[in-house]
Amino acid sequence: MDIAVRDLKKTFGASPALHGVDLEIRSGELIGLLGPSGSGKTTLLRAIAGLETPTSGQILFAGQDASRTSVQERRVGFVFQNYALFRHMSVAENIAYGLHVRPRATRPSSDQIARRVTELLELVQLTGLDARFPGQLSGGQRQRVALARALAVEPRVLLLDEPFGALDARVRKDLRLWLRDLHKRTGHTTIFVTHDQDEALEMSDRVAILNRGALEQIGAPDEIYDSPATPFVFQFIGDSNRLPVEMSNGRARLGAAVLGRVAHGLEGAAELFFRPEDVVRDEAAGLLGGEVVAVRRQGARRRANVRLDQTGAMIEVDLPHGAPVQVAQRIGLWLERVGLFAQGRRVSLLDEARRAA
Amino acid sequence: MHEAPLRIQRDRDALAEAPALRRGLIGFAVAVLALFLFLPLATVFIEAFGKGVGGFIAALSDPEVQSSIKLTLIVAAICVPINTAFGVAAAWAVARFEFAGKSALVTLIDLPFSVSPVIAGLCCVLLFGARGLLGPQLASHGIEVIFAVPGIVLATIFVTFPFVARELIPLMQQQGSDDEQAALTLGASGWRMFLTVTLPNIKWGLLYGVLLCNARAMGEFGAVAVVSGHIRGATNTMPLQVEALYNDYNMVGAFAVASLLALLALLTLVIKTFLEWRFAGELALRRRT
Repeated sequence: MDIAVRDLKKTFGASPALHGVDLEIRSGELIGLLGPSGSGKTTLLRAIAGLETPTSGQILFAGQDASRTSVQERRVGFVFQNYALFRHMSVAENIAYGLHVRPRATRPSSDQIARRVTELLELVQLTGLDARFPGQLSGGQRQRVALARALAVEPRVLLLDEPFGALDARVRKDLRLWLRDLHKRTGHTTIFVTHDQDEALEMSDRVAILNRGALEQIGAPDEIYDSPATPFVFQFIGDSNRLPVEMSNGRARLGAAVLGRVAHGLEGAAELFFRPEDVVRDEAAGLLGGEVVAVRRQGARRRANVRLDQTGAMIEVDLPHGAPVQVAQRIGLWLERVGLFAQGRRVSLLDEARRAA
Repeated sequence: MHEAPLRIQRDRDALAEAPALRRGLIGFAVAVLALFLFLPLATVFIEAFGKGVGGFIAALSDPEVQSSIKLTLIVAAICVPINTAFGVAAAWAVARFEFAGKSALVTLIDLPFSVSPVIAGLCCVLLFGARGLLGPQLASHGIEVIFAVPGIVLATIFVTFPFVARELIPLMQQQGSDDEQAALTLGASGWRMFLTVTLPNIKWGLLYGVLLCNARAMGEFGAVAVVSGHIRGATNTMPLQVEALYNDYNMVGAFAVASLLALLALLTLVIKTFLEWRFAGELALRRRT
């Protein structure tokens, strides 16, 4: 089922948690809501579930306004961060809960319920654990019980709040792939909240980035990473360098170095963003030059801190294999891909300075 | 440089006191307990059986005593369910919702703990007495409150109000509302959610609170003394009957009734200890620390 969020606002007391979020989610999509803590991502998820009443705005389920309908009527599957399993009920009773509480007219027979529970246990690969209690399960198992319980009611949309937040790193990696696969098989429209960018980029069809209660960008993981729409997204996703730039007479300059042309009329301060992996060494055409201050190992890559000659600013640069540099060595640098922003909006660099072939 | 050799002390925790001091402290604590708790408790039972088992049974068979036992049970049977319902509702409101005056409500719930029970009784008299605010109107409808059972019930409800609420508020705050919200998203109605999720989550804490509430409801003296009027065979509860018999120099009678109250206290203590031991994790956090 497709979901649309229209100009959604939510205020807690005096502090706004969401100001005017618009979001279109296609049927069957797996969407990650990503943002730092306090960005409003959980509030948005809970508003879609009906656990939070929006101050204004609309939430449409398959084109129909669901903003004022109750949680029960929305038929959403919600998986809580701490799973919220009923600890006095067995795994089977937990999963069957949503079916047992249905009004008599629509309640399946106990045979049907038992069959459905068996099916779901199989789906989440917990066959045989039906008589256990939540306290006897590992974190990953609890997570899957919570998922099975949410799926039991045949929800129109599956909502997950920090689904892997409480798990250790290894289990988390396995479950990510497993959940991605489960989504492919069941095809539920799924929205999950996370503060972990790797998780969001790896799992989602599209990622929605929230910051301070507003949507910064929504797009496919590649789009988000390769062309961030705002300075916030550039800094929040992946590593980035930020340098102050001056625009005057149709040129963007970093110190004395000319980065490229900008549209006439754009004057004043701007910000240049680029990723450490998009910096290459180039002694010949050296757009920028600097001195290596420190070199360190970070997992698969080697990273250097370089002080730029042009402005004295420090930047981070990834070094290729087999090209050793020493501290205090002077190197020339070229920027492969950059983002230029003025007043928070992207400015295109026309006729970017070309690298000498 | 000359350094003194390090003295090594074995089997000593850094925080432990010297053995002599430790024995002294334990001995002192035991002596105080014996003097102020075990001795009086033993006296109650010794005095109660001062004239043998026959005397004990005769004392309890006295119609006035029987009436006081019956009245105490009736009062507890009314007060405990009412305060259980109040307590759950108050704890629910405090733990689940944010509203103006919430901290005032929490303070108000604690009020009966800080106000002398006698004052509570007096308030009842001022409200419902013959010259009270509401008394004359009620009397004109033939409803007697003061010096009658309703007054005793009201005073007892006031005094025992905090027990269930105080027990449940921290418990429900600690548990949070995720379980309940999960039930709602699964389609459960509010009432269904309460019965199948909320109640099972708080049942041991609730039982604990009810137990303490009951013990206090049966044992309350001060507030009840003010409103009951001490009418023997009619408005004397067990604690009041103990006093009345004691003032009559009827030692066996007084201590026989007192021994029943003491037994109730002991039973409460045993069940309470069992609950704390068995369900420590599910009772409120504050007692675990």
